[in-house]
Amino acid sequence: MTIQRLEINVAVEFTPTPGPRKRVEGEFSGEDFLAKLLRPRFVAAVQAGAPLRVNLDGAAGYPTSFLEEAFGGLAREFSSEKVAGIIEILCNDEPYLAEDIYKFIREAKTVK
Amino acid sequence: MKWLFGGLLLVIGALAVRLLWVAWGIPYSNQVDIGNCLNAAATAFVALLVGYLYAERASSRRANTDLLLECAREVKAAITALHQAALPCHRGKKLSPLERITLTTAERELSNAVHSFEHATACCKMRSNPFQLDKLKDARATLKDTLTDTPFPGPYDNSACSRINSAFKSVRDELTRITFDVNRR
Repeated sequence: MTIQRLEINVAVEFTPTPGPRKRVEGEFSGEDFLAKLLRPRFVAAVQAGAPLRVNLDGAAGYPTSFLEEAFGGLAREFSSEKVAGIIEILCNDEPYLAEDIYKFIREAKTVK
Repeated sequence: MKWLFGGLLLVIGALAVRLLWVAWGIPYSNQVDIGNCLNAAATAFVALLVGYLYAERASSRRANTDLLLECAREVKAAITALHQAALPCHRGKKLSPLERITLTTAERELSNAVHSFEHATACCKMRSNPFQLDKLKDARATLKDTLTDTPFPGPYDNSACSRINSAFKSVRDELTRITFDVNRR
């Protein structure tokens, strides 16, 4: 049986109140999210040859620093093209968020 | 502008009638027959029809403009709310968890208000990017970055506070420009 799609629900599996960029800056950071959820699930998706849908609905807004550290960090590690090809963003709460995240993935070569 | 267009239509119509009159060699006479009455009735009908169609178009355009201005007012209200939520950034201390959530929620409201405005322009069946909306979207993205990128959640130093003020001004200026463009269309 092949896996059709992997999914992360940030509000349910991580936190409904995403925090800053780094762990030292506060809890529920982008660095934490990348290490605990996004990277392992992304690797699993790559191995399964399936897309990874990241559901951002249900949280109380996403700081730029959180998103850039998580998605930009993933793209810096695995390349922008690979990440853009695997990740699907779902965010009905804030439609522009998907555009913002794809921008972070595209521009991830510039290390912040 | 509308009156000028109406006047121009009237002049063109009168010239067209005069030319047809001359071309067809219709003779002048003091007698009024049934043909004259039918001509007058047809002319009046066409004039009324043109007037009705023009009024309907102008009315629909005005209604669309009013709806777009209403959406622009919502964007302005969201900017004001975000400005209130961003006031603790100027305190020189780290934001509390409640202040962080208030800030990101207010930023989301602005993002969605701009998105609604973009959707409204699409509903008006306007050409793509009618008011250079990309400039407002870029200004909104820059404002979000200044508020919630590093050094979020603070403390924000003087240069970060200055960037926040400048980003707010850019968003307001873009919204003002678009509001005037909407009203002028």
